[in-house]
Amino acid sequence: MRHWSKSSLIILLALLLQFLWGSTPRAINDLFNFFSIIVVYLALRHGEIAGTLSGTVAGLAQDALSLHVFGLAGLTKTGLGFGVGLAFRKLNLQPLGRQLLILFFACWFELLVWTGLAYLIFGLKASVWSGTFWLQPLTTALVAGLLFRLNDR
Amino acid sequence: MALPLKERKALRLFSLLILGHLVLISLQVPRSEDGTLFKQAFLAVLTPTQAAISGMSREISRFCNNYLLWRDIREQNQKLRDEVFFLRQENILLKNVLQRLGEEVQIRERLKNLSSSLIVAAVVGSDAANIYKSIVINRGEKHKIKADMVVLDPQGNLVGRVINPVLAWTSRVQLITDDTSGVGAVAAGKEVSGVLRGDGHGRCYLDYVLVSSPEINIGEEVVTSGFDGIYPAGIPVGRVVAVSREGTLFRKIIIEPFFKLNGLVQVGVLAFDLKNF
Repeated sequence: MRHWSKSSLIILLALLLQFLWGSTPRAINDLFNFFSIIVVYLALRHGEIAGTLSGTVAGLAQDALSLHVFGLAGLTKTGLGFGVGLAFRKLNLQPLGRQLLILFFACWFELLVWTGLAYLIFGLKASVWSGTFWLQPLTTALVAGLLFRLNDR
Repeated sequence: MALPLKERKALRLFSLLILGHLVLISLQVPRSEDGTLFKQAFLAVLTPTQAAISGMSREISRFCNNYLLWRDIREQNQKLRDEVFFLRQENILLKNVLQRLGEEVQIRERLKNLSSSLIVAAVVGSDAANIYKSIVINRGEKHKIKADMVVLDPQGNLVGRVINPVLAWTSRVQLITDDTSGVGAVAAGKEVSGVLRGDGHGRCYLDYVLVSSPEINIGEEVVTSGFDGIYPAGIPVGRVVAVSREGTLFRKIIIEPFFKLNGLVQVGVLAFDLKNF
């Protein structure tokens, strides 16, 4: 029960950061997606169920706050949370390098699925994203991985 | 081999949520303008939070900035700012109207309702996926905001239009820099019209301008044409920054919008039907 309320607070914190982050210049803005960061963090910390649920909530929040297709980020972030939680339990991700690599690939895959589905179903072109947008998986993996490590100590 | 109970539970939850998302997405093909009821419910919860947080942060920074200033000076300054805001908007609209209408009596009659029909709103949020797509303003249905109302910056430049769903206290504005937006536009003083579309990076393209149409030069001003039935004619949009040839039929014209997203804290919503103005 305690970790559910903690997780809800973390999601609220991501929401707050995302609101405040909105006023930064585009190149910096695209670099971080706080919703992805907290989904990965919660999946690492509490497993795939927490990852799946937080992925759904954070994804839908992202969808609601943008002009994009409602449910798309919800779908991909649900997958991200579940995938990361499952990978963390099944694989040995204790070494930092291995952990960051897996997280990076998971986030990269999530971004690809998101942009791919947006393009295939709704014709939204990937060219509208800035260059730094594609660095999002790297920053998400780094920030979420480091947060997890810090919290572990 | 049977999976452990916890794993089965997680897998079941995951499948259920994925299915839910797929149903949600499939309901939007083709994309509905109003958004699903679920999205509206989500928005109804999130936008007031967004407005509250952004309002709070704005208030805190305003308090810090004004800490050393006299209170009455600040109030006076605010009043003057509002007045300048209204006067600018009024001036631009008047210029447009004067060009189209001849009789003074007719103009006077229509001006009566102008000031009261301009709604000043504060920008309280940006788009979570791409800041050049949309903004959220702190005025909604309760302030008589409706979809397709035109939104201008304090200088009277075009920012975008209000889109559905319009909530009670907040509403979303689709920016002209959104790649799915469309505005009928014309090069000022020339018979060259096209459709203005955002590039998603803060600039716009003027599409469908034939190669055979009169020459357009860099630095020329682009204004709304009024052909789209949403935006009234004559609102300043931006300036031409590049012209090249795209294929054999059309020109590729890049426009730098006049409105600046960074620092856009206040906008004006035209709350009257311009077709009757």
